[in-house]
Amino acid sequence: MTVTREIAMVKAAGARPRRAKFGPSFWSGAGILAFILVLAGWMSFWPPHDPFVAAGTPLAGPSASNLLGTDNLARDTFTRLAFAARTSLFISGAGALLGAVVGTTFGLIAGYVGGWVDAVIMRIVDAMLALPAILVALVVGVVIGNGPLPLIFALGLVFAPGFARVMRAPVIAMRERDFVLAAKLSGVRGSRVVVEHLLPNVLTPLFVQFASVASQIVLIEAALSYLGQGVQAPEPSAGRMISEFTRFMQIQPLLIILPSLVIILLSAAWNLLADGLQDWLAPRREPAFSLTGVKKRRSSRKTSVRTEETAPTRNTDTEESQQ
Amino acid sequence: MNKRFLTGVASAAVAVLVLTGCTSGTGDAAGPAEPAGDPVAGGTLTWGVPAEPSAGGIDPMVASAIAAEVIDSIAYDTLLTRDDDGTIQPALATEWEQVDELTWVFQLRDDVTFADGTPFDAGDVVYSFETRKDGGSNATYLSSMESVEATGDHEVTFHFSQPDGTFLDAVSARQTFFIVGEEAYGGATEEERQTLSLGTGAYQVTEWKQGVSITMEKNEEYWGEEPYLDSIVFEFYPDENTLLAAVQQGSVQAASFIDGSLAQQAETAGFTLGEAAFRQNLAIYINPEAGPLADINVRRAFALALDRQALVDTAMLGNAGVSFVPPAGDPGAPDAADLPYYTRDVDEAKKLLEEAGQPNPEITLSYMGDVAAAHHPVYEMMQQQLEEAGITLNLESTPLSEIAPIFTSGETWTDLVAIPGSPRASAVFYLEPVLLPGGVYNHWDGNPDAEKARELLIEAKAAATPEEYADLVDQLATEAAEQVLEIVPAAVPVYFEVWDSTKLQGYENDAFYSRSGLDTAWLVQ
Repeated sequence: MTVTREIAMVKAAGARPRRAKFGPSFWSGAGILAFILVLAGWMSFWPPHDPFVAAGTPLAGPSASNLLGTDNLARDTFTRLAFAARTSLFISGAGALLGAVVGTTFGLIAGYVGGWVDAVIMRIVDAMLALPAILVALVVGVVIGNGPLPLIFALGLVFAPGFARVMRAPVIAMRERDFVLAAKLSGVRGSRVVVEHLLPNVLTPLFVQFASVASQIVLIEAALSYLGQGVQAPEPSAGRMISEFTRFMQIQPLLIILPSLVIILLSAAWNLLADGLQDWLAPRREPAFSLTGVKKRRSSRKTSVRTEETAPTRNTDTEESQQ
Repeated sequence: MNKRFLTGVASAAVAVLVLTGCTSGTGDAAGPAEPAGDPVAGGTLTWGVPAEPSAGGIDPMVASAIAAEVIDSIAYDTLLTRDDDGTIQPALATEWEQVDELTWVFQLRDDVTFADGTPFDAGDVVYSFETRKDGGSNATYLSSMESVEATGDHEVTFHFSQPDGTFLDAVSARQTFFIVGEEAYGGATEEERQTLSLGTGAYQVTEWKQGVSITMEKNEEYWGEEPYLDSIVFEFYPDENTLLAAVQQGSVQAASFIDGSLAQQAETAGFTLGEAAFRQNLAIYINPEAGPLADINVRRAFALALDRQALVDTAMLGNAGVSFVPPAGDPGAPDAADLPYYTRDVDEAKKLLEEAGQPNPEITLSYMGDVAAAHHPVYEMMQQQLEEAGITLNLESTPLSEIAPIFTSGETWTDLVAIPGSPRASAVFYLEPVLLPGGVYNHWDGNPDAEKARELLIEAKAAATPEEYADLVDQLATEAAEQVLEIVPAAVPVYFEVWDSTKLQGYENDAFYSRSGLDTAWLVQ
């Protein structure tokens, strides 16, 4: 169905193209991330306790002065958890961003140029996809050291091939489309065609992939820190907290329950965001997750066919503006 | 009887059952150890251990891992032994005499046989010492031994090239000079030596299931009092939290923990926690060749900025002791309170840093990030304490496999490397690898700061009498602290031993973690 025909059909049906609303997945994911950001800001500027020095008695339970208790060195658990969440959020966001930039660049080039360039890039991508992410991150850590920045670098590179593969497919499908050919015939340079005409049309999978990768990075960062190869002491890290405090799990179980919750929460937040973006940018017939209840879902299913026909997706929207 | 009464009785019974069900799985182990009557022979003791012997297996001539030493010290005997306060006691040798500065004569027992029935004599002692000197573990302890000869069926004579102040310590250390049979050990294959034992000890290794357990059975030929237990099974629990769970469930009757806080939790579950000597230093070795620690004033400031008692009380939760070299639990240990640059003085530390022209030095400490988690809080707390003096301590968590070349081949390192040290047979052996040429931690060659300490070490090794040796060891410790040649934040026991004293009777742990108390322990049937 061409865009013109689609618009004509929409007009014939008497409805204007309408952008779908964000779903509960998006809002819950974005809400958790925003909450962590606010908490991180608060902790960065007005921390209730110094996260690196003693602020009570060791292994104490929750109290008015230490909301979530203290660890074995008497440091405030709440402050340290907030810092750990901030670090994890930063690493996951920055790692996914690096992966997105590098991967998208190569994906666009491979998809647009095609031929042997495509073959070479994609074989390299295939080879890199075969490498276990955690192993590569470990090796990079050994070579360039541990800590947040090497982690971001390592994980960004590890996940870049995934972005390249996801980007390439829609570009191949789109490079022969009329608006691209029109741009080429008008003498627009290849790089500009890619950036201005192709990239805006493949943002849907990019956003979804970004949030999904960020979620994976949260887990990998926690695993590496658990192994002592991620964020280094004394910088708080949820993964390392679990590893350090397993020995106290019978004395003070909160010390491992709370960092576990932070990891689950962050990973779930990114995943919900990915799901929410997917639903918003390219609504599916059956939403993967809905908080609106079965009854409502059933009733909306009846109208979903109509919505599919009437509401154009983001990329066709952009496509329209190209024409 | 009315219905309400019956309901009340039933409710009370349920409440009692629930309450008793909620108590520890080893509830029967709770309470102080009460003698359960006369010793009873028989039974199998299950002992949970956190480590399995590694390179060299349990070969008493080759293996040097602590996990192997504790097995070997049950299966093999030494010429002499020591009681908990360090007094030397007879073992396979009944008498010993220093004939002159260069000669020692030992009279041996004549009623000993090896587990295979071969009689023990002077030839076995000669074979054991010659084999060890010829490339066995701890061969450096015998560097000044010229020869050993059998001067009778049950008499051996040791000849030295120079006086050796450490010899008696080394001969009586429970994990050092094990005596093997020339016939049994000499005729065994390498695999047999590494997986089975044929010693003179009370129990012998009869089976080793890799990764699962080592089984030791009563030695029917044992020369001492007949042991009560039929067998001892050492089960391996590489994860100490799992070992704690096994203790709490009553799956093992005794256990050894590296982590003192877990041993305390086992004590809470009703097990008896043995008093443990601080025999293992959390040693931090210095690279003085480059970086801020090349300056003695920075090293002294570093030492002064540490509050060792706080490290012991908070970071180690009281499961450690303030210590220097040798560790606090060693009979030759100095009193750390008397050592220079050992009591915290942050102002003095800042002054020294000013004098060094480095008011805010940045120092990197590498530590084993993947093992010994119980020690990690020490390094984090050191970081806090040093910060107060203006010293930035960067912690570099490094896997054991990457740190290993430092202590196997002497490869160079960051400013500081933390490597928990193994117990040594005599006081000077702790500083030997740091100061003497060829020592794996020695980066002090040609450094004038270590000159005097090196001379004292050499003098101590050649001390003619125990008194002279003890005096030189004290001087050496003071000099090493004065020049800050090594940093020791604390000393810990090799193992914290816990046992269920309602089941295992007559057992007491010893200061040298040899579990010699198993020779006289019995299980309540």
